[in-house]
Amino acid sequence: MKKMLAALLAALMVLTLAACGGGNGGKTVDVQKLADDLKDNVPFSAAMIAAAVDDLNYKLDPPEGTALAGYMADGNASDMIIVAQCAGDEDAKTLYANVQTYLDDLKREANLYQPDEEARLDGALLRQSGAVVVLCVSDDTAAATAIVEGYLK
Amino acid sequence: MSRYRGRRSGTSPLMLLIALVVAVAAVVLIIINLGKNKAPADDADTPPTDNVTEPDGTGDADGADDPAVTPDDPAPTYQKIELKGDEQQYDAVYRVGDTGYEMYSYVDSTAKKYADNVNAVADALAGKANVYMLPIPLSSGVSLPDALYGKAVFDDQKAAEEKIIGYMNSSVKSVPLYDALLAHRTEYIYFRTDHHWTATGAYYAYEQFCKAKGITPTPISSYTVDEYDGFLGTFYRDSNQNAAMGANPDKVIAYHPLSTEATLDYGDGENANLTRGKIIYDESTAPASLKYGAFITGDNAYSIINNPDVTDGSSCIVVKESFGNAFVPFLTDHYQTIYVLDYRYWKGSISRFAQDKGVQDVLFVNNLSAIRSTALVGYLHDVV
Repeated sequence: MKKMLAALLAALMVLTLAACGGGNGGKTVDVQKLADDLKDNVPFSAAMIAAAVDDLNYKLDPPEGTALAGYMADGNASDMIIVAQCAGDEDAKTLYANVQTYLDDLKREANLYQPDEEARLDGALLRQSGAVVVLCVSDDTAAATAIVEGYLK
Repeated sequence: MSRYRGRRSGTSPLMLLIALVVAVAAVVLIIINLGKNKAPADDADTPPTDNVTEPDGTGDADGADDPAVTPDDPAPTYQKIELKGDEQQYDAVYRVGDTGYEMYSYVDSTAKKYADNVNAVADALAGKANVYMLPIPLSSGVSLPDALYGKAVFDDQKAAEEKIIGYMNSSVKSVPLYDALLAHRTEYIYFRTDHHWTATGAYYAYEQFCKAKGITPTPISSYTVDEYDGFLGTFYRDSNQNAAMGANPDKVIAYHPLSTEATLDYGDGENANLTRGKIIYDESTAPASLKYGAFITGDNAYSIINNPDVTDGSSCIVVKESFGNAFVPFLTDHYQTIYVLDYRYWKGSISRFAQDKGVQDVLFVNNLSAIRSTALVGYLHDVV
């Protein structure tokens, strides 16, 4: 009987681990701090203006409980920063897909009317780690990546 | 050694049991996840398939009950378009011979958001201005060879139009265009090498707008016409400069407004320095890829057309992306002032601007590809 119980507990443990798998060790980020850091230390082709959270919510449909911060280019450039801390990894995967769709739609539009911007969108940083999602369209994706990875360590 | 073997021997059924439980649980989880993944495809993001326009050109069988078709419209019949030439799919373009088609997928969640934006403007202007909404189908929904209808990369645009119109509230005057364009599908209403419609296609939309507004359209034969040869647009570029397209470029046909006194000025906004442009700009010497710029001098955040030949104080706003460019010239003879706002670049509030200017009409002239784009509907939301 004890062995049966042990077996069931073991199975439960395996299932629990499977359900939680793929995380970044529960790492959380201060979304505003990371967004500010990117704005201040990555070169952009336009002045960056703080994005209203309501606007980000409208465009990205994040799962409930997601904290968002971001900046958008002033003008017609496609530069942007979006940093999200989701409630969990699965929510982050959902948001990542939404951000990818948004990025693809921007690329399709740029392809038709602003081919130069399409190349910049193609080279954008889009990263999900655990419950964190970051999009950064800038003049220096390598610099943006270095900053983001510093937060995700 | 024996101890090791003994332990293995003693726990083997237990391990088997664990494996069995895990396996069963895994199967259950997989089934649950499959259900979750399948759900979006089953929801309203996919247009209903029972409304697919018959590829034989006879139209949908239930057209008479369709709110997009006015009761006095006879059952439409359509010309067939045969599949001719080799086929090739590029990123977002499907080519048949020398003709490109934009692949299209209807996105219900984005259509709802688009409608929310239009509804919000209509609500804000209730009792003050009429709000019209003209959803423009793409060539892939109208002039696609019949044999390709139903192909996975081409969602039904008639069904999409019905869904979008269905999301408008009662204060929006929706102007369905699909049937009107389909009735002319064998004419030169879309470019072959570019994703836009031609001015002739836009004229048929203008006719539908006039019908909705209760005014008489100017006969197309009344206009002075310019033609600019050698247009090779976005489909040509996206098909890696396909040789068949290159050998048979498009022709931009432009219809001049009857008024020869009407002027167009454009800029970033009404308070910016405005530049004098032309309602029909001579693109005869423009590079091959830029000839669609003939209409209202291309995409500008803000344009204003003043027609001194109309003196009744009438005015309207056209909220558009580039498809609207070919449509706007036809409005010139009906309004004293036309404000053209390209919501992708213009900054401000359409509702406030309409009230400040005291316009009678606001027209949303937007193509179906824009209405499925989270990016473009996001831009529109920014200026509602």
